[in-house]
Amino acid sequence: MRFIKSVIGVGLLMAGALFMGVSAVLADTSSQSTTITLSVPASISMTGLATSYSKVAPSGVTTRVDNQMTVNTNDPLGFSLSLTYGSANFNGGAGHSFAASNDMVSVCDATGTFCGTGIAGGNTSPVTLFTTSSANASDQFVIAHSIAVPASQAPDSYSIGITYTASAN
Amino acid sequence: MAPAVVVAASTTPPALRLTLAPAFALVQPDQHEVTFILVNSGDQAVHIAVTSSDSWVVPSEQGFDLAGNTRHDMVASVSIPTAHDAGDHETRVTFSVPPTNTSGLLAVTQALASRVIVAVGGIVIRDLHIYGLTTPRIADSFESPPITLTLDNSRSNVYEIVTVAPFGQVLLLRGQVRTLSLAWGSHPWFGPSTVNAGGMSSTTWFIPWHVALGLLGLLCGIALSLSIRHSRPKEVTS
Repeated sequence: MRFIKSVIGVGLLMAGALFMGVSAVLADTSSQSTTITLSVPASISMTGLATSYSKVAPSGVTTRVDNQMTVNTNDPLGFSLSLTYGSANFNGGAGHSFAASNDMVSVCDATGTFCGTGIAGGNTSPVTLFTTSSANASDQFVIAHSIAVPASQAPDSYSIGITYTASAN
Repeated sequence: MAPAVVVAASTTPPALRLTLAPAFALVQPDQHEVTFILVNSGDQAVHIAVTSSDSWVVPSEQGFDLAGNTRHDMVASVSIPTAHDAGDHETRVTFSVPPTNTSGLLAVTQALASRVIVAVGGIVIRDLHIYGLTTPRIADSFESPPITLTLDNSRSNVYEIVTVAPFGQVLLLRGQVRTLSLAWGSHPWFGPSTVNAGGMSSTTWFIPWHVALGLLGLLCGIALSLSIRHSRPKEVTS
């Protein structure tokens, strides 16, 4: 009988110790919550354009130079893309030049296959190429420059500076 | 043979990837600065030139270098002239990357511009007029009917944002008049659909009537040929 009482007593002691241990473990795993708040502004991005494009363009022939780009914005009003020429002429060395209006600019789809109506280049004020009116995840397109070099144009290296500006609406 | 016009630099530098935020900022009368964030997600380091269209918003830097995969925060102070109109004022802050190689046929500067509208306060006049919303009563389901609409904010001295459902939103600056010509491409295949703009609405019924007329013509042809066949006198064999 005394042996049974001892066994029960030891058992109760072990159970009590186990209970205290579990309580201590539970107390160590108490949790805290916090909040992460992000402020997401309207943003606009442009990618795909190189800083310069070069091509061999025979005189008397129209040569096409494609500027592929992607514009993204989360602005619900969409974006506008404008083009500004740095000068009214393609300039070469030794006073050689020809009018930048020989550059017909058109907006094409992402593959450059289907293009809108061309507009003559050379405007040193911004000209809007196109405008969207909603947010877009990815708007890919090609700006095609079809440059008709005059037949009598002297051999030389010609260049012109252009600026593409994307802005939210 | 026509002489070739040879241009220099046959290689094309790698493309850039830049992001600007905020792309559109509304500055309240008690706000004195705007912070712009420019992110270069490309690997190539670039030099950024910063310009402002007027003296209302003055960037703290005229330019800075931006390494690849980094961002740069730039503060611009808002300075309202002592003599100014009530209402809104618009300034554009432009971040541009000048070309590193100017000898190519096309030397490209790419720029991102943020539109900053400074709310000056004072006597605000809101007088937006929307008129001329026209849509066809009936259109073919496979066509994109034209929509025209004029938004006139010429008598207001503050900007307005007009929702033209289901197309999107349109920003009108103070004094601005915009005539929209839209192609209604995303519409239901069959049934009525409505364009809404500032309380005005116009409904178009979309019916595949070209296909329906074609089918009707086909059925009429079949019916006619059957009736002719049945109306022929039967041959009597003796």
